[in-house]
Amino acid sequence: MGLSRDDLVGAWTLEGTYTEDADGNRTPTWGDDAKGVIMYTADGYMTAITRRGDRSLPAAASAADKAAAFDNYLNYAGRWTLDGNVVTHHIEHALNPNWVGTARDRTIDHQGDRMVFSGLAGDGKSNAVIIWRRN
Amino acid sequence: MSLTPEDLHGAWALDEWYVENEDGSRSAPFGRDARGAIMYTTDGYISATIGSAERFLPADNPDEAQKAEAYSSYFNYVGTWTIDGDSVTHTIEHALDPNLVGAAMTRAVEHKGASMAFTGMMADGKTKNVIIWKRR
Repeated sequence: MGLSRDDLVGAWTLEGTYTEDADGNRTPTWGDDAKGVIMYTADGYMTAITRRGDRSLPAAASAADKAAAFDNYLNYAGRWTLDGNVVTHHIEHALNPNWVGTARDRTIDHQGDRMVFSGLAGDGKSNAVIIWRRN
Repeated sequence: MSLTPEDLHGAWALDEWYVENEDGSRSAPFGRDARGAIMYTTDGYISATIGSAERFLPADNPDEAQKAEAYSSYFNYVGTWTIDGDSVTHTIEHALDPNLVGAAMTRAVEHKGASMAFTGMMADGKTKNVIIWKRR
C-alpha cells in the first residue's frame, strides 16, 4: 500500500540509525547517542539533521575542531516527492556541498507514529537504516 | 496586528542576509548571493539553513582546513518555535555550532505576506542583523 503525503508531513525525532552489512552486523552511524530530526512541510519541503550526541566546540576553535564538528553532523534540505512507499529527497542545501543537486531515495516502513527508512549506504553494499518517531 | 502561526507555516527561501552598522553601512556575512531555507511545521518545529553560494569540498579525502571552511560557510539549526506578538522565538535542539544547542533566539518579524524580514541586534548591541525570506 502506498503512503499518503499526510503520513510524512510534520516533524519526527531520530530514534536510531545504523548500517547493516550482508552478514547482519550492525554499526551505529553516530555512536550510541545519535540525535536528529526530520521535517516535512505540506508545501513540499523537507530537512534532515542527524548528529552525534556528544559534540562540542571550544570558543577559540581550531581548524581541527571545526573539521570534527563538520564530520559529526549531517544536514540537508530540499524538496520531497513520494512514490508508493519511497520518498525522494531532492537536495538543494547541504552541509556537504557535494550533495547539492543529488537525490536520495528512502524506502519507508511506516508504522503510524514510527517510520523506518532503509536505503543503500555510502559503501554501495550495506543497508542504512534510520528510525524516526513522530513528535 | 500580531503574527499568527499560519503566517509562518511552510517553507521560505533566503532572499537576503545582511548586518547593518551604526553608520548605516551594510555587510553580508555569507556574501550577497547566500542561499538558504527556513521551514515551520504545523506541529511546532523550525529549521533554518544558510550557506554561502561558493562552497566547495573535494569529494575524496578533504583535509582539515577544507572541512573547517565547509563548516564556517554554513549555518544550520533545528528546534521548536513559539510566537509572542510580532516576534518568533526559536528554541534550538540541534545546531551545526554545538554551542547554540539550548539557546533561544527571538526575532522580530515584519511580515508582508509573500516575504518576511527578521530583525534583531547582534551580541554587540550596536549592529543590526536583518534576514529576509521569500515564500517558496
